[in-house]
Amino acid sequence: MFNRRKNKLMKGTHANLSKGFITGSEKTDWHNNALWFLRAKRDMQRDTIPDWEKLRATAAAIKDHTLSRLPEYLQRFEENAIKNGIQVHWAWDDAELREITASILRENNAKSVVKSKSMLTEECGLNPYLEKEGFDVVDTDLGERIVQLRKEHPSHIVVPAIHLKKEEVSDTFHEKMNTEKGNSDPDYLASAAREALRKDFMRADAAITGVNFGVAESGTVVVCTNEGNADMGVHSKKTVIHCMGMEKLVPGYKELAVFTRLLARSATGQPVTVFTSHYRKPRPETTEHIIIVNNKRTDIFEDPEFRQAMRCIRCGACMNTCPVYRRSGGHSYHHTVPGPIGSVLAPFYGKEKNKDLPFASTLCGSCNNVCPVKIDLAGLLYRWRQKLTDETSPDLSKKIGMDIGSKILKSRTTYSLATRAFRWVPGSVLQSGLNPWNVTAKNGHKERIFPDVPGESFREWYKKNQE
Amino acid sequence: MNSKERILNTLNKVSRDALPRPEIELQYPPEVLVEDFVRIAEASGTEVFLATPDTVADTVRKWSRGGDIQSCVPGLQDEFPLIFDEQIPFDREKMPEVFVAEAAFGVIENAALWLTDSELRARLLAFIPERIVVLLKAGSLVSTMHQAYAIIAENDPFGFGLFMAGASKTADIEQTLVKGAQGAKELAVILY
Amino acid sequence: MTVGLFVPCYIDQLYPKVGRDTLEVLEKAGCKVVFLQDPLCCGQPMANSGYESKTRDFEKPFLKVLPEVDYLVTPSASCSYHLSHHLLKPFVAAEELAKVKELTEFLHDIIGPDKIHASFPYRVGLHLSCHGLRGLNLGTPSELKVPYYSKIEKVLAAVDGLDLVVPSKADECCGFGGSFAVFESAVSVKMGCDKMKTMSGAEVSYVAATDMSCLMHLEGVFRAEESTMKVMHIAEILNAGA
Repeated sequence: MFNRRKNKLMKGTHANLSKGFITGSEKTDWHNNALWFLRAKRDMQRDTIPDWEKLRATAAAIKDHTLSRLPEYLQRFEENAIKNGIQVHWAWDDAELREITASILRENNAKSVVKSKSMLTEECGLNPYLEKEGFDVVDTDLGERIVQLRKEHPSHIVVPAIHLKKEEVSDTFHEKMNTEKGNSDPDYLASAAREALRKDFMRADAAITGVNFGVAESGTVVVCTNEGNADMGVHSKKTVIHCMGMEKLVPGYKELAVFTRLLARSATGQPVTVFTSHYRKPRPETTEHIIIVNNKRTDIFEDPEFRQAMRCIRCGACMNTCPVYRRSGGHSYHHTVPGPIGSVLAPFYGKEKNKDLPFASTLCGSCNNVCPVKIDLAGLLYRWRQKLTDETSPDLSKKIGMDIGSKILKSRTTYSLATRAFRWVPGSVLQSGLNPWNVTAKNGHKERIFPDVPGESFREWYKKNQE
Repeated sequence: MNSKERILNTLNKVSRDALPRPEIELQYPPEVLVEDFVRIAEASGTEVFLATPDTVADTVRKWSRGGDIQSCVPGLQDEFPLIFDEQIPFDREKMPEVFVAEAAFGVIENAALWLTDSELRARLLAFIPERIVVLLKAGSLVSTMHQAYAIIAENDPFGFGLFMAGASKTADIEQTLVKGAQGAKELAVILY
Repeated sequence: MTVGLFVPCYIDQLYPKVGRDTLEVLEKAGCKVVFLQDPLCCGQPMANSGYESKTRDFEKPFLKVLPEVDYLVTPSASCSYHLSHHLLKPFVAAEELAKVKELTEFLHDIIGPDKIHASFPYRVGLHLSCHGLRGLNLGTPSELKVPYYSKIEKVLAAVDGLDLVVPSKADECCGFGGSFAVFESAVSVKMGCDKMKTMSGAEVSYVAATDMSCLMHLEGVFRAEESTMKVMHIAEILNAGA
């Protein structure tokens, strides 16, 4: 009964959601290996750069510099973008991004939109809003299109459909695009999507993209893709909108070089993305817009400990290396951005609802070491644990446990009493389900067993033998 | 107060001392090696041909396997005229099957090719054809993105600039690499 | 040289042999060892669970003994990391803090592996515990491009007959993670199982690490899965046979 209550309380937490993902089936292992493959490719790219670690340190220093002068760089970026003929808008929060986007579309009589990958618009709930307002929105990145057709969210920020097997994609495409039933050949499925998306590109009235980098000194917007889907929209539509988180700025081209060297190598282990597009001036008779978005970024900026999280370039390397992410899947994090960086960002978007996420980590620190901008992810997760314990409603059983533990471990008298009592607890109890250390699968198979308790502690032995 | 002012005011309230703009002092491979470019391009699935100015057109023709070729390269546009119309970009009649452009320069560390409005004529041409051929003078190679962006910063400002490092590709279905996700299915580089 | 031996709470209670072996290894290496009676716990179990506030005063017994010893040694990398990076950091100057050493680190940096005399003629798989590797820099983590080194391997190289294997993904977390092991038991156990598979794939008889906490978790998984592999703390190997 206790367990049932606990499960109910834990509903929707990472611990609970990951149980559903870890089925013991081959799919978990497949997911784990697929992401590890990206990490291994990343390691190979790392080895091609002699001063890789210095490159990372430089990138971190550039981001810290840019953030330390962010207001100035944002204004410079805006001035230059306007000079280049692009209209610039500022959105305080998610609602304002949605409203600005809809009003630009309305002003330009655009009914349908092709959209390239943007975690920012995902974070701001742009698609559902536009659909509700009567616009037709098609995500054009293949992975995002797959999850859009399935009415899901991306489970990874770079490979959005990594939680799906090709058979599942095949079923979705059969249902939504009438592809051959049971044909799950990736070539066949990708080519079917290409044909369908070509029609969407032809039909659409406007294009929306995310932004990887904004270059302040030239007002350039940089978008990196492997498919070329952002460009298919941007260069064929008369109305173009780029949605940019305000942390995306770099001072100039010389700094951009550092990031274009790091991004794809860290993300997918490619030396660079297939397309690195620099949008500076609109085509004739085209209106091009940039929306600079805050949506809580000022909160992160204001916090001296957490400001470094704004260095993030959304490469996903921390997810690929994270042993917890690889085995629990992106959806178990119940936040737009999953994995280590997601768990650092999530509490800024709701402490109570995301308070479990900083605990969904072993603090192994692998993420710190792959992060191209050297964010102390494990350190920030540790800080969140302290802050969230203070600032959110407590998990009572955990709090009581910690209280008792702390009292026992603080004084030799209580420690000695408690540990002597511990030695009286029968082995059968320690080996039973009452001990939360022991894990038993649904089918009764034991998965982890508590160690046998030795006859005497080290202290008891020491007392007998040394004193 | 509008959102711009609100954002800037909030940031200004907490901005601390400005940190200096870091010097970028990274190692550059001293030698520019064409072999490295070829190796890295081929690893990304790009076909690389070595040619001389006289054999470029032939190489293009052979690789195009009889497909309709269009080009905006001065020496080739008479033979392969550009009829693509940006106003009706999806018109199959005017869309080239094979498009030939010349890159301003190439980058060895990632086999990326720099193309701007002046090299492409129409921006969509870098994406919409079935196949793309990019010509590159062997002397126009730089070793890393650092030198590449130094050139970009020095030159006349472009409207659109693109690093292209292969054919359009995706691995979104089970991490299986598929070429031709949205844009060109094949890319060839002719070094001369 | 006076060495203060800190035996962490769970080692005291569940793995007293590791405490004894640590004591003997240090004594054999010529140290005058003082077992520290008062510090019971570094506070990590609470702090990593978000209750750092409940470890107030835990630093006091450490602060008291630190000036009295040349080094404070503990057979647990994660406790050592927690002491030097969290619990004691606000109170102690860097120089004094550097006296806190994990056992292998101490043997490598201060004593020198030539002072170790042990024999353990078995095939042993090394699990590189996260806090030792990435926190205390006991070796090169697989993510970084830095010249390869391993203090643990150097120290273990002194053990006669030891067939040490560093299997693939040796520095992937075992899934223990403190209270993570309990509150995220599904992922935790899955990670432990995967570690078991890479170790049994390497055909080792024992799995060794700098941290008994990782090994307690792995032992729990090995036993549940009826694996023949045994876990062994590095101190046990360093005190074996000779």
